[in-house]
Amino acid sequence: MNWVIHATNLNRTFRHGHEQTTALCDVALSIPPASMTVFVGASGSGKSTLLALIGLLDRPDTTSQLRIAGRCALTMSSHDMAEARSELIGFLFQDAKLIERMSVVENVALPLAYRGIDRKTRERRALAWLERVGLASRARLSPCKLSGGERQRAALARAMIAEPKILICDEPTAALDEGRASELNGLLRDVASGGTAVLIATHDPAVIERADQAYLLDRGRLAQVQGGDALRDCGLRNMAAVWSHRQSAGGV
Amino acid sequence: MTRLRFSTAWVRLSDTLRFALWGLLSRPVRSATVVGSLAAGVAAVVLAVGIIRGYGAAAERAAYGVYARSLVIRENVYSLDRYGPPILSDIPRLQDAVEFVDTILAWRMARVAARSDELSGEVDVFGVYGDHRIETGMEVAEGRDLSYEEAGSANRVCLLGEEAAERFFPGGALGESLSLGGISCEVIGVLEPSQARTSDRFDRAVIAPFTAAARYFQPTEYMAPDEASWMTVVIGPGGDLHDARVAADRTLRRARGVPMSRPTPYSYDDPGAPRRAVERERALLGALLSAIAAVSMLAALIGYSGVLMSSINERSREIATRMAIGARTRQIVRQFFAESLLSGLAGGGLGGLVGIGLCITLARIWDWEVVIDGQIFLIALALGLGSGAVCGLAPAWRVSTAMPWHVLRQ
Repeated sequence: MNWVIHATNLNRTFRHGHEQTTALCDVALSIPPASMTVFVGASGSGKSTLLALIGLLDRPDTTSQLRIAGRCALTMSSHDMAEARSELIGFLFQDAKLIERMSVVENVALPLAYRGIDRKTRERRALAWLERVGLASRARLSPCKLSGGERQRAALARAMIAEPKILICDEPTAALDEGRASELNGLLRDVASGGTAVLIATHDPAVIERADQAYLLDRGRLAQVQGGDALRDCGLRNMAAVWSHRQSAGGV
Repeated sequence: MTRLRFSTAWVRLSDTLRFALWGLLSRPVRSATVVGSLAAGVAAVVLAVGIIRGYGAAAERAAYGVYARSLVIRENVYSLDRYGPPILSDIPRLQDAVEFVDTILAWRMARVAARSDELSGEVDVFGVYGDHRIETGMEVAEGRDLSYEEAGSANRVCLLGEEAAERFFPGGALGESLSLGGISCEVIGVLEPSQARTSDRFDRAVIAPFTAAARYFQPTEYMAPDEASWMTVVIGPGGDLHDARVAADRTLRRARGVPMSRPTPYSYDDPGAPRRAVERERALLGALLSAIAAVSMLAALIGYSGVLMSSINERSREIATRMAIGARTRQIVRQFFAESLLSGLAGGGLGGLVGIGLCITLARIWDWEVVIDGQIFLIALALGLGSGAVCGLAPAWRVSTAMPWHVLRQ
């Protein structure tokens, strides 16, 4: 199979003086394109660290093997990582991380500016994406004028404007109410259907319900979720119930 | 293909400048602090340069031209033994005896009654033996100068200083006849205004050939035809004024039969001495001001780079976000480098204007000379740009090469 992300023996250790913390240990996973994958686990289990490594925002330990769209992450220089991020990866953070002093449309168009695309073209494409996420009428506003859900949708538009192969979402619905979260989940599902591999770290059962595959992270170790028991064992009862319901309905 | 490359480069450049400008304008207080701290240092440097140059120009004007290295020989009027003024035949003696003599001019001055069609009054007539320009530093603005033959003759021709020409011939002096002590002299030239305080007396005077002056115009105290009011011995490069003075005194004493035990029959003035003193002062003042300006600039640079560094650190999350959404290292470096260059340019420009303003104000208060030109403003801009380049590159590079995740998770 043609994996867009393929990792084996993926490790990440943080050192603080003489102390050493293992955030990820022997993680192995393969993600196909056009899929929606969720990573669940308790806080501090290593979900965000794993997404940062896959998103080339951080470097794995040297014993690791990680290929992103066929490229070996370990041998990349900082410059190569930035290039690969620009070409392959979009990010959706929990707090959107929109730049407050720019308008919404300028925020969305920003990734295209870093690709050397002229101002008119990138604004046209940004407006098209804002239309798609239902924010066309808010394009000229400052991000601080948007609600939490609108900010996340604007951030999704920004992440997708450069048509990345991978979209990494770190708890995108954590700060949203149910209705806004549902809207965003629908958009993420659409993005995955469009050919992008969507990776989501989440605690939200509504997100896991729509996922194609789920991984459980427990103290830095990864396991693919086959049934609800593993989730329940980790105290993730809501997710376990959702997952079991999906399995019984033949969703996965 | 070339057009596409140009277009991409233009998009990058305009975006870099736009983002940099946006980065500065979106934080006005921070940017004002950055620009202001640099402007203070640049203003100090501009002020120092302005004062040093102004002071230098004043020194140039205080003493000018040949007086820098010359001896002026006059009769020693304080001596009880009077041997008369120096005479023309002393010139070859001095030329033989004094080393490194460049040239010797002899002057004879008399105050005479002058009359033109418009005006009558008194005027100083300077009879010159030699090329007057060596001492006056004044070229002819209208007409012609005294020729070599005329300078040694008794021809009744004269040159007028600018003010004298205006005074006696408001409608134009050239070719006119000026009566000097009842002797009619043709005005063959009008001199340009003097450039130095030491020669401004020639602006109001008449210059005539030495022999003519000796024949037609008598000073108050009788002088023989070959006697000069003073002689100016110009010392060339390599010559020492003290040695020249000793040699000249020995020669003239021998010529007049004055033993060394008697007071010297002549006084030997060194008109360049004040200028050299001014130059020494100027060098000292320049060194002091340069040191103060350098310390001010250094303090400003430390403040500037500190504010720049903290400004970039403050924006590290923004930088990390930009990198997460696709900015390359070089694009971030370019943006922040452009920001620091722009702030440097603004600081340099503002500092330049403030420095020039201070120069002008202080010069008005203390009646100083001010030399302000485009060059001084260019120096300010270059200082600002250089500071921006030096102080901006390192923090921009440091922040952009950090792993974005480490910044984002803080």
